[in-house]
Amino acid sequence: MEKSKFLTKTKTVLTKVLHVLSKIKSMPQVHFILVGVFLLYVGRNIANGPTPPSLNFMAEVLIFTVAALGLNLLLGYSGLVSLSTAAFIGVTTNGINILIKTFEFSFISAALTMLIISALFGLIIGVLSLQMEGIYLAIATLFVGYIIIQLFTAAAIFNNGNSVRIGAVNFFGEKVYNTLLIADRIVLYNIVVVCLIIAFIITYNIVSSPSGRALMAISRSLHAAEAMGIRVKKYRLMAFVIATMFASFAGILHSIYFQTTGTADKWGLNASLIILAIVVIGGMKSILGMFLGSFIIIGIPAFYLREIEWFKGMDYLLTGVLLVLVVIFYPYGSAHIVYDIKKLYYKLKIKIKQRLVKKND
Amino acid sequence: MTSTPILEIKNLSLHFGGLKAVDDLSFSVNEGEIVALIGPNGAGKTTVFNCVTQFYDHYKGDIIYHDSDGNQVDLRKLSVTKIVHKNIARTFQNIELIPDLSIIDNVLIGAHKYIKTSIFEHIIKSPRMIKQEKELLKKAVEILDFLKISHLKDAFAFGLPYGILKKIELARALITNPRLLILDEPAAGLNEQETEELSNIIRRLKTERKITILLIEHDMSFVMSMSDHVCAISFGKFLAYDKPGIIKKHPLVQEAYLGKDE
Repeated sequence: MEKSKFLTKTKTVLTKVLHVLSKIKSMPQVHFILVGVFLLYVGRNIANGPTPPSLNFMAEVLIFTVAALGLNLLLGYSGLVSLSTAAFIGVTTNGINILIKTFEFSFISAALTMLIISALFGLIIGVLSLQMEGIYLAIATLFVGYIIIQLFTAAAIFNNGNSVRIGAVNFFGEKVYNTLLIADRIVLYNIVVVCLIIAFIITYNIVSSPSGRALMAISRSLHAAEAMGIRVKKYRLMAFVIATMFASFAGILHSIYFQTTGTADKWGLNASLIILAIVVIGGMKSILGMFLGSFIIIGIPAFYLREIEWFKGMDYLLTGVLLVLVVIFYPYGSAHIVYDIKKLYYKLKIKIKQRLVKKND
Repeated sequence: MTSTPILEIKNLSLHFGGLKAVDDLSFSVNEGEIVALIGPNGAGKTTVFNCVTQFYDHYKGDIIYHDSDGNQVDLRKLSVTKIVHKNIARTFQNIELIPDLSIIDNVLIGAHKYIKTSIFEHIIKSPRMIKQEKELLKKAVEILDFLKISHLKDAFAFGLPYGILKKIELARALITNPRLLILDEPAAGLNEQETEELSNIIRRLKTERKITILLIEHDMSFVMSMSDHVCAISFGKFLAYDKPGIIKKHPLVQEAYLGKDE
C-alpha cells in the first residue's frame, strides 16, 4: 500500500520536473547559451590544433554574426536595407584606435564612446530612411559607406586605410591580453563568445517585445500600424540606431580579438554585401541562423576550401551562387533546415504508424 | 434612447486631382447606434472613413468627435497615430494583418497604445514590461474568446481562412477599447453562416460593450437587418440618412443603385 503511494508520489514529482525541463528546453535563451558553450568548446579545440589561425577564422565568423544580427533587425523585421554595415565596424575600430592613442582613453571608455557615436551615425541614416525606401535607401546607404571608406584612405589620422595595431587590450586596468600569445587569444575568443551570446539575447528580447511587433507591423502593413497608434518615424529611427550599434559592437569585438583596426578595404562594400548575404542565407528573422549563415559564408571557405588549389580567390563566387540558390529554392534561409527536418521526422513517424496499423489489420 | 452625436461630419469635401471623391457630405452618428454607410462602388465610402481616421488630412469641412469627457474634438488637429488614443478604432477593407506574426501577436499590435515601457526596458526584459505583457495577453485572449478563435491564438496569420482573418482584424480593433468602431466591409467575402455570426457579434458589441459602430457594407440584408440608421451616398454626394426601412424605399437610393426609369 505504502509502496504504491510512494510510487505515485515520485511519479508526480518526476512529471513536474520533466515539465519544467521541457519548458526550459523551449526557452530561446537556453538555446543561445548552449550554442555559446559549444563555441567555447570548439574554440578550445581548434586553438590547440595544428593550425592556430583557425581560432582567428572562428572569431571572424562570430564578429560578422554580430553585425548580421543588426542588419537582420533591419532587413528581416523592419523591411529596411543598409549597405554600410561594414563601414560602421571600421568606424568603431578606427575610432577606438584614435581615442586610445591620441586621447588616452581606456579601452572600455573608448568602446563605449564609439558605441554612442555609432548610435548618432545610425540616427543620421535613420533620418535618410524617412525620406526614401527600398532601392533608393540602398543606394543612399551604399554611398554613406563609400564616403566613410574614402575618408579612411584619404586621412592621415586613419592611417590612410592601412591596418594598425590598436595595442594590447586591458580590461578595467587588470591583466593585459595580447593576441600574439595563444593562451591570451583563447581568453579573448571566450570574451567574444560571451558578447555574442549577449547580442543573441538582446536581439531576441527586442524582437519578442512590443517594439519588435511594432517594427514588423510597420514593414508589413503601414496603414494598420498607423491606425493602431504606432509612430513610424520613431521606430524607423530606432531600428537604424540599434542596427548601427550592433555593427559598432562587432567593431568592438574586432578590436578586442584582433587588436587591429583592419584595412579600409576590409570594411568596404564587399564586406557589407557579405553581411547582407549572411542575413539572406542564414535566414531572415532567424537569430541563430545568423551564425549559421556566417559560418557558411566566412567559415567554410576559410576552414575547408583553403587547401584546394583551384579554389583560391573564389570565395565570392561561392557566396554569389549560394545566394542565388537560397533566394530561389530556399527563401527562408538555412535556419529553416531545422523545421524541415522536424517536419520530415513527423511525416516519417506518421507513415510508420500507418504501416503498423495496416499490418495489424 | 438619447440621441447625442458621437461623430459629426460637416460639409466634408475631398478631391483627388479633378476627381471629387467626397462632395459636401454631412451626417452624424449617434452614440450607441449602428450606422451603415452605403453607396454603389466608387461612391467614396472608404474615403470618408480615411478622412475620419486622418489617413487623408487635406479634406475640406470638419469632422467633430465627442469624446468620453464630453469635449468636442476636431479630428483634423490629431495625427493619424493619435486617433486610436481617442478610442476610435477601425478595420480595413483589404485585410491588413501581419502574415508572419501569430494571431495573438497580431491582436497585441492593437494594444500598442497601452505600452508605456521604453525600448531599454524591452532590451533587458524588465519586470515591469513582463507584467504589462502578461496583462495585455490576458486581455487579448479574452477578446479572442469572445470571437471564439482563442484556440488558434498561436497559429500564424498567413494562410488562414478569410473569415478568421476578418475576425482577427476585429479583435485587433477591439483590444483598443473603442467607443467608436469603424468597420470597412466586415462581411465582404464571408459565407452566409459567417455573416450571421458576424451580425450577432456586432449586435453584442452594441448591447454589451456599448460601442458605437459605423460600417460600410454591400450586403443589403446584413445592413438593413442590423443598423439603426443608414446613410446613403453616391459619387461622394449625400443622398439620404434615415431608418433602414425608409432608406429601402427612398427614390434617390433606388435610382443610385438601379438607375433611373426612362
